[in-house]
Amino acid sequence: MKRPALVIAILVVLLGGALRWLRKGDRVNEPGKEDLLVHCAAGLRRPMSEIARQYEEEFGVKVNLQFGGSGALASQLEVAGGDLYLPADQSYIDFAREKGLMKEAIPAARLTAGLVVSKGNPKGLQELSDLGQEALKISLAEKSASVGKFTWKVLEMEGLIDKVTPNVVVTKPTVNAIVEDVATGAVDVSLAWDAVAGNFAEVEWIAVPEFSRRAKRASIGVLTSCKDATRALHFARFVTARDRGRKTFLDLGFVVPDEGDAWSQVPDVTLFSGSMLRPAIQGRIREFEAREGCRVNTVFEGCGTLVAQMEAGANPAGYFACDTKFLMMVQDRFFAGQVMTGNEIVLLVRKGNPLELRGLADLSREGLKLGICDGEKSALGELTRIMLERRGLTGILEGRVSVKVAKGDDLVSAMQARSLDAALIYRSNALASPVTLEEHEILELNDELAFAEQPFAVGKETPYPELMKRLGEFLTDGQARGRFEELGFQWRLER
Amino acid sequence: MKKAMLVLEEVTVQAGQFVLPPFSLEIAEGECVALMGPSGCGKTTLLETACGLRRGPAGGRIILGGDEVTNLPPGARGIGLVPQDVALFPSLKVREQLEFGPRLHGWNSVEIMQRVEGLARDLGLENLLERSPGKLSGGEARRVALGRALALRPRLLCLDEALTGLDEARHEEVLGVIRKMIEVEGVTALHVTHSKKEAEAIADRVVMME
Amino acid sequence: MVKEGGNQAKIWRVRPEWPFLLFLVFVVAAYLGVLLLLVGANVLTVSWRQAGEVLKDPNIQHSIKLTFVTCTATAILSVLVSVPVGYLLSRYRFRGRALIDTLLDIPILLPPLIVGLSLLILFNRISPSASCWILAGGALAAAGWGFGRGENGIVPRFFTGGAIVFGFIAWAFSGSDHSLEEVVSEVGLPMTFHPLGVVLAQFPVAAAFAVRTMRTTFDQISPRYEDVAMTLGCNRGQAFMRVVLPLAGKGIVAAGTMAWARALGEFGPILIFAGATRGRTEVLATSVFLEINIGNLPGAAALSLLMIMLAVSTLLVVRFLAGRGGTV
Repeated sequence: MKRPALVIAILVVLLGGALRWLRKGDRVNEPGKEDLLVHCAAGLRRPMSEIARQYEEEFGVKVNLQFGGSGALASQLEVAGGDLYLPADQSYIDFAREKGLMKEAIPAARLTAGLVVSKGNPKGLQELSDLGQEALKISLAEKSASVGKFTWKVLEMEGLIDKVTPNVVVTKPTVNAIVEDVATGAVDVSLAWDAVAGNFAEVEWIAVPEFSRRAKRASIGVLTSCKDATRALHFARFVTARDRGRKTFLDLGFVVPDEGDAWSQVPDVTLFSGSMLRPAIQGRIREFEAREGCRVNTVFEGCGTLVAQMEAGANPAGYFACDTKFLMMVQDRFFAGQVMTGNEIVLLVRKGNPLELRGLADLSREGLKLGICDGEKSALGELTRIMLERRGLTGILEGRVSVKVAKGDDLVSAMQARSLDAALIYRSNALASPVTLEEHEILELNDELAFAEQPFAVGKETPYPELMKRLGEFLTDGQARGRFEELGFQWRLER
Repeated sequence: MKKAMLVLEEVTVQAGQFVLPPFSLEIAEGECVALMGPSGCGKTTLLETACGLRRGPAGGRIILGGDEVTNLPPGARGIGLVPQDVALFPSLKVREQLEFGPRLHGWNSVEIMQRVEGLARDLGLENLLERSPGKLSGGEARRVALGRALALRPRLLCLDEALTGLDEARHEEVLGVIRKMIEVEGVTALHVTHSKKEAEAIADRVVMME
Repeated sequence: MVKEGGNQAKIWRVRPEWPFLLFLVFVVAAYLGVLLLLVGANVLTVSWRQAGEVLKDPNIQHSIKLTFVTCTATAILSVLVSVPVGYLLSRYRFRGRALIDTLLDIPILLPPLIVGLSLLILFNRISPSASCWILAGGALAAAGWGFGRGENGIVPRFFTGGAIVFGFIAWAFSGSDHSLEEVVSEVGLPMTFHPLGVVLAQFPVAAAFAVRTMRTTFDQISPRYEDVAMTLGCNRGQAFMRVVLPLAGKGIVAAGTMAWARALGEFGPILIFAGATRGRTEVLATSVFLEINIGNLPGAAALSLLMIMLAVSTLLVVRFLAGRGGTV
């Protein structure tokens, strides 16, 4: 080496060039912030690679797929973040949610574990207990993979661990690797997902009841470390859309848990909701729209009105009813609803209670201007009617009432306008505006009939059932709860 | 009384585990002194200390040409060294070996050329200037090393066992060259050796070390 | 006639040589046989049509390109680092040299996954502030070591200065929520799951090997040359550049190819830290892994063969250059 200085200079220039090339190669699709990073279970490699390719073709957004065992990916999550996580099993979703790492999750595929043997099943294996046979070579996935965790657990539960373990010659980190072992003839059998086995022509998959009755659900979830949830959700929706990702899953031999949503760039849905819920959920709906990149058309009315509209042909994607009774009237259009909140019926009187009203019985007083809701137009009205009837105060209903309105809000307005002395409303109506309680006060009725429960239900015919499910969750998650309770609702949902 | 070129004043040197007793020496300008002693007595160590190649003397002073050089780096002392193992730079041709010092000190190319040719003439290296060190015989290599050490006209020439590894026939030749160069250049010399014959061949004075 | 008697030397009987020779040949043949079987197994698995398909795949082609670029970058970086480090360790004696020596070998001893995991944690979990505290602490320790030894030369002062600078930066940035990855991404040098991260993942191990090589190289160059150069007026730096480096040429090439080969084979750290994204951070080593993972055995075998050929030719280059009088 004659001139070291020259050599060093050349090396430095080469190094600089190499590093620049690496940085550029990175920016082909704009800086990393535009790309999506998905941690994906190895068993779902084939469908996801195809879906990612389709997505990039359609939207020009690159999707980085990191494959690995679901458990191994979970540990990476905590350290390195990312946008989405698609484990092979719901338990990992739950784990991630518990740790606050994940927000919404959409079911993508159903995986069933079973015996994977060489084509023709030379060893004639039929049942799980057959794995304890003499001189059998088994390859199992490690517990860092979803199928590994699951199959080991089931073996233990069925008391087969001691018989089977001696036959386990190797464990591998991904489900693909163990099926490949069977395909190459290195082992006789392995326990793997049906769909993965479908990738290999040299093997066949045998169902066994111990696994079949515990089918697994693979869901794609949005991580809290994601910088742009809308884009992540866009992809997640794509993956689970019935005419996009789901189709690919089906084409590649995977089972899907249900039909899934239709695909749309900006899904458009309609939500019917009891008007007393408006202050609680209105803002949250806006947030949902922004996050999901969809449009939620809302109709806030008295439930009677809403039911009538439905009977007239309206077909909302979701219904957040004032009370279960009103959902039941249109139950056939919806999947089973889930009760989210409760609302007490109270008596609103002028501040200081000048008329000294104490309970329902006082309401039959002469000359009292009482306001209630129309039983046909609103749940509040219906519940009030039922309550008064049961308490033997039908007289009020039959003539004495001054005002019958469609919604609780209207009664509050009437009270404020001094056109009423008292009104039977929801507690939330009273708390909807801080002004109300400046001049009025609430009398509790202490009557078990003075109570409404609000269920949320998803329409059977909507093309976006998953989206609606997410809407229901979003409207009633931890963040929303505070708002509900502020407004006088009682929390009914166990989460 | 000629001026003293090299003065070692009570120089103590640390050589590994043991410390050499304080040593004093004076060499006059133009004088050639042989430092003799049995192997292992520390004479090479002393030489290297005088050159500045060891972590400074543990005690005492070194004065060269009237300047105190005790703590100066080797390059600042004005010394030429011909080591025991010759140590020609393997990657440089003979001409480049001779040019090394002058180039480093920024002599202009005319000066360098003249000096190199002068040395080559005196040392009989004219035909060897373009050779690489690997292709030189022992005697030739030693002459090149001598030229390299003298190129900058140092104040002091240090020789360490000048004849190691040479066969008998060459001894006289090399000794003759060294004698001649010392005279021609008029340089002060310190020669470390264990051989009386070597010592007496070149030195004006012999100093014994214990 | 030769008489066997007390006053005549016996002709010594030597046991025949061939059993030993046969033993040697047997061991060599057996070992080479195993290697041959390994390569042969790959060759037999590869159907040339499938191999062609794999090699035509643009993702694989990108992977090959990326492998070349990253390995070269890592090798150059390793050389630029290992030459000074090797020289320091070879020429200078200082207390704690044995400790530094051991520390430098750590990347070789650790499972590669740990290197990758540490990088992942460093960039994504540790704030730059904390990193600066760590560096400040290390610099302080080094300074304390130097001062404790009674030196007050430039080196301990350098470390003290460094400790102050890092401490200041750490304090200035404390409370900032950003991870190191965010900081470097802002300046346009994203690492985790990005191509640049591949180089960073390959570097620690490759450099460790290069340092070892350079240390040996410098150990084998006699300090005498530097001594003479210094008497002729060089300071240590000039002696290093003009005399030692030219001699270390072969050693540097060997260190570079060694680092290149190590980077080629590195798999664990890259997977964890840079990921194995097709068309982005996928290198040959991870390509093989990915092909296996989807059950494309012949494709994986084809890539394995490609890597074997690359590794073998690298070794041949090293042998050739080293054989010409260089040091390995």
